[in-house]
Amino acid sequence: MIRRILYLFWQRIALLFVISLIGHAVIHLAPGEPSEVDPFNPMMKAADIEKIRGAFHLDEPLWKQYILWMRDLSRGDLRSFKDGQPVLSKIWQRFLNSLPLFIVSTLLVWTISFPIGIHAALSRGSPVDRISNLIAWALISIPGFVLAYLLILGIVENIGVPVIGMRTFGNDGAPWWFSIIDLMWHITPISLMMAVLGIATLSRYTRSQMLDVIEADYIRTARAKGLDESTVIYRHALRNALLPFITMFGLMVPGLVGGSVIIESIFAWPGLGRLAYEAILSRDYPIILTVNLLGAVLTLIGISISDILYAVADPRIRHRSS
Amino acid sequence: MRPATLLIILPLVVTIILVQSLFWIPTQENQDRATPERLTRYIDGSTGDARVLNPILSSDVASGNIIDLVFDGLLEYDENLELRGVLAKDWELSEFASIAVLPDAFFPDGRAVDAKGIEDRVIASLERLPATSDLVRSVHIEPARVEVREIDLPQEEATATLTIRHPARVVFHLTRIDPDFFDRIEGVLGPGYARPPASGSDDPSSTFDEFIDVEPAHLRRQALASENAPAAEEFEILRHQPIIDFELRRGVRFHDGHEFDAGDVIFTFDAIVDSKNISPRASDFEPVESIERTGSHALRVIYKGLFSPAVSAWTIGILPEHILGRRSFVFGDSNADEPEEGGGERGRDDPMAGSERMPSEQDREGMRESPFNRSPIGTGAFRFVHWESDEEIHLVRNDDYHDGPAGFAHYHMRIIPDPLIQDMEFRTGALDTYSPQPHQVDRFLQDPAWQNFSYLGNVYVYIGWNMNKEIFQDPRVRRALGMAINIPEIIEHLIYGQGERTTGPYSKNTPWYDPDVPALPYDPDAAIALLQEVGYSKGEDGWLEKNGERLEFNLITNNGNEQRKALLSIAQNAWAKIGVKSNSQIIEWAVFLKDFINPRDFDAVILGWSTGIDYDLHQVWHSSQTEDGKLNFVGYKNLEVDAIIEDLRKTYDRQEQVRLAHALHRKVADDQPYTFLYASRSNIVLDRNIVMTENGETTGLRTTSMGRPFYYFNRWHKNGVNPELTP
Repeated sequence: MIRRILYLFWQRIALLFVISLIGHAVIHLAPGEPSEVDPFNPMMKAADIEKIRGAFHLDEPLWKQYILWMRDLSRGDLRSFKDGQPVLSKIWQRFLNSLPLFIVSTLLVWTISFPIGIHAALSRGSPVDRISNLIAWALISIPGFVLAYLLILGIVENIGVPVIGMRTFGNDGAPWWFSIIDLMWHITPISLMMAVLGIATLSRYTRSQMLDVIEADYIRTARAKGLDESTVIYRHALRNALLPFITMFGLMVPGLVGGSVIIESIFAWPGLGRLAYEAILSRDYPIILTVNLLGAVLTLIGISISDILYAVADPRIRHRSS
Repeated sequence: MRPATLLIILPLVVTIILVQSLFWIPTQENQDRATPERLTRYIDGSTGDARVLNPILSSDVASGNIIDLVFDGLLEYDENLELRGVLAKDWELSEFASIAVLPDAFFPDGRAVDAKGIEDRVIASLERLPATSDLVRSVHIEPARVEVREIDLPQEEATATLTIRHPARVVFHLTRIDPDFFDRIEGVLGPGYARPPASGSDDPSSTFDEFIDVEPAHLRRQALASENAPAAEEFEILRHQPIIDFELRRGVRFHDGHEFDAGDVIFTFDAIVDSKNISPRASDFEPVESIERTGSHALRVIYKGLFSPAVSAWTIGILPEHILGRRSFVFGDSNADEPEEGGGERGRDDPMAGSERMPSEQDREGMRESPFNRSPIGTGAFRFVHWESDEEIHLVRNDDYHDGPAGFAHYHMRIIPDPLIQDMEFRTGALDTYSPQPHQVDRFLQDPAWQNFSYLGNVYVYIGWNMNKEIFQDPRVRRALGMAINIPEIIEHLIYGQGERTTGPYSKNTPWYDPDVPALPYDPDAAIALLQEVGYSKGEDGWLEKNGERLEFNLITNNGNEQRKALLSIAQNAWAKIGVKSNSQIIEWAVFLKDFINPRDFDAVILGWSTGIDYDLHQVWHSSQTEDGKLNFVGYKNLEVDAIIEDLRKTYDRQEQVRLAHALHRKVADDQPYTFLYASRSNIVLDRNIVMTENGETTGLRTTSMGRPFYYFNRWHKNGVNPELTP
């Protein structure tokens, strides 16, 4: 078991290296230049541009740029082109901003989706099932940014409360608790928005998974034993339906990085997704590369977690591998 | 608990906790819900970040707004666009009018010219004239002198020696600037004196010939072109040298407590003209010959010649010498090594001391690299606190402000690139002002929840005709093409009525604009008649042609401006209706300038000018500006217009300036080098609670004669908040 985990670990380190190489190559091969050295910028003189190119190592061959990037990153003194701030602290700051959104929306999605999906499965074909089906598909089909704009307009028109950004501007000097309440409110519309979209998807999965297991013999057996319906559904049926969700749970982790680029941009939330998006627009290579690498690391961690969880949850897998 | 219950209750509780927080959040109506301090802040929005917070380096709007609050100029424009003193308590215009004493010259009565003779005869002649008896304040005589100057010519790798024979001059210090002074006294010396036979040509360098010898002689041209060579103005026989004497306000302090004095003004001037700093304002100060300190709070500026637009250049913000001028420009250091001396006197009252400044880091690197540009210190009504790139710039009130502290305690400029988000933030009270887009104006202006202001901007949109092309050389063609376009309809539908017709090169809300100049009528039939008069007639294919050649041209504009794009099609369609064929093209801005405008390679162009409020139109309309790369790219040449432009620059009298500007406006409108389309309106909405307090009385916001409310910004505050009027 341990050996297998170690093997997986090394395999994934190698994979990470390959990913970082490909990412580096792709980003440097993409057309366009960092805006700081854009030759079409009328504010810049050619000599200054050359100087800046030198400082950014943009004149070095690609392989050397890769090594320099890795060196600076490992030493922690990789800096953004745009403002010269250390990349790691910038990413960490933005990560902290994205985290509450992620936690709240994930919490909501991974709780309420199950009762909804299960209920829909149990009452298959009933009006409730049809309506929830319709709403879910509508939410899945309508682009997120349309809903986001409608939500912003609705709140501003009807309640008149600020929804943009992380705080209500101009309230320095308010009591200490206000900043917490303020942050809570600003998290609310975005995370509810993200949660609703997530619930629409996940409840559909739950419904179809439940439909698969609910006809199984052991469910009938459980009922025949005289167990109450709740135990039958949540202990016997749901547990077996849950297996595919372990995969999904693992894949959810990288959502921390890129899960909400559009929504964060619309709500002007200073999160990690927006950082990456803006970095891409201005070709801020250190930021793009590092966020990309972070995404890869999180994805591999997520996959590893679900591998391990699988083994824990499903004896068949555990036994086969050992 | 059953799992189903838990899975439902938990998210429900989380949601309720989150949603209830909205009841604590301030709204537009209850801005002070979280803290009453919110009402002491004015929060502005900007689509772009500032670039450089230094008055002598900045040229963008966002920086300009902050600089206006942090820095003061010596002068500023008041609500009627006349200059008034800010850091200057008083200023006086006068003039040195001087006459060179030419050897071997004679008075009209045959006596040899000498200095004393000129002085006596001029004074006597003035006394005979009406209203000029008090014109001369004093007279002095500059004796002739010979100066030897060495000039390095790095390109020739040589040094030239100049022997300069300055003639003696009789200098009359006039009590006012009198451009006609030499005309008044023409009888004294006779009309031929200013142009002695020796220098018959108009070539200005020929004036040098008499006064300057160059050794070696073959380097003469290069030596005289060097920036160290004496200016041609110095050798004018009859010379005007306008003077401004500034008396500066005493007791004004920079935000770090250091007292402002004449040294700061001289330092600012030196920094502007220092080529290392590449100041975009340098040309405004190019006409200055010398600037000298005449007291701790007094200075005298002497100009090379008559150039009236130079006066308003002193609206530029004044930099702190004690921070930027010394060895170090790290703030902590400069405060530490310069403790405050009593009354701010620095033992530097001797005017000569200014020239012996310590070599500072500035002298080597220029000011562009200075951290000062990101944390400025001025004397303005607001003190700089913090600049978070792409987020906000925060200023606080300068309670020590010489004109009384402002009503708002804080000023924030938030950088919000997306107008929709600005809109949302304004409506929820997180911004105090918003500029609605043209299509939003009706909705915002009718909403009683806000107060709104609408005024004409200093911009106009036009179609420019390239007069280097033969087809556009006849003004009747330009006029006819303009008459084919229904401009009122464009204003109504394209910009939703948020604009006005304009007929000439001046901004419509300045006194320079002549409201009596008639607008071009919309009359396609008359347009056709006019073109027929020129010799065009309908060809077989229905297009107008002359001598078998069709009237056809390209109309271009730059990419990225939806209004201009629409104008392109509207104009094209309007011309097609009268039988004129045109093609259109939209070109990316950099290419547009480089390949079309600068090399003059276009037929007609749709563009806009942001004109400012100055009357000097030399750059755009003078025929000397038609060379490649300069701004008269339509190639407009009219000698009468040139003459008016030059006269305007020499006139210091406002009434006369207005008269000349109106004449200029009319001439340009007659010639139609542009088809002037419209000037757009600027609209702003403000929080309804903002009021102003003036002389102890609180009223609604007032606007200037141009309809602008921001002029009175320092007196604004939110209703219910007592502006702390005592510092």
